Amino acid sequence: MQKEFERSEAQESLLSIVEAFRQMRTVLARQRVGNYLILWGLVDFAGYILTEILRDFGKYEFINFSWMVLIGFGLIGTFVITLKMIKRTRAYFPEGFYIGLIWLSLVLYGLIIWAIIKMGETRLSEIQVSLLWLNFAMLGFVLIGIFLGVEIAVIGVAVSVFSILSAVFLSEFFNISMALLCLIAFVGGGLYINKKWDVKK
Amino acid sequence: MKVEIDEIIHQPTRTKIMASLYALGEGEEVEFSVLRDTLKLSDGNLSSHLSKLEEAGYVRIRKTFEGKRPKTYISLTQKGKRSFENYVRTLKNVLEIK
Repeated sequence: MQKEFERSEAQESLLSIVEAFRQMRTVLARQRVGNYLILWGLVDFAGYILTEILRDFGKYEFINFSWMVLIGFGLIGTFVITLKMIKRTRAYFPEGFYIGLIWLSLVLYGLIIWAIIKMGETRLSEIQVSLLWLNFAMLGFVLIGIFLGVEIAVIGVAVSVFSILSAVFLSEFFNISMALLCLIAFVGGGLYINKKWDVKK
Repeated sequence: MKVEIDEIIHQPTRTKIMASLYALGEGEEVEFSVLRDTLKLSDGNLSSHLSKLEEAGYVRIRKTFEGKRPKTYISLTQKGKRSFENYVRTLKNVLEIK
């Protein structure tokens, strides 16, 4: 049956379709976001444990190198997870670009702040270096939480708070406490998020 | 402008449901609570609209148990997919979008 159809009515319907598409694509895109957390949780866990072992054996010169290698594995893993997600959702996720920009900005600003500190007389301790980079990453979690969901922001804030508490009250066991924190917060959080944000939960 | 419009789909909530299911991809299912939360609908509201879409043969509703918990999965049928594409085409024609 034919009926009179106003342009404004069609416009409204089309806009609601676009909005529903955007919402569902966000739901699809964040389905396996927990995999990133699990990956980086394992990278950080291995990093802190290795740092502790190398420190015990007095092999300080290998600490930075081991972190570089682990971060390299993390970046490769991140790339693989991203490719798999794109293949799986088969959809363009507009916020993905902004999330990429957030990470890029954080790394760049982290490097700038690092360079400024290096210009001065101040030398950062191992714990301070660790806190600086970790908390930059956690700021990223909080910002990404705005796009994807409050759970990620909560993990970011919790890790920040516990990392500072560890540095202040458990500096003797800092590497071990951080290894455990990363394992619980990132791997545990990642598994929880994967379950919670699954469209077939 | 006089056009033939699918009255089942042309209802604000059902339009959103169809669009969400279409965005899922072919053969993909979504759990009832995920769809409800995504579209910010109540259980009753979503159920009643899904029933209408199911009667028209546009969606498939699969009820199952996982352990002791009942689960409901929703997906778009081929007929639903075609009808939704026709509906969008009609909207674009009215708006003269190619």
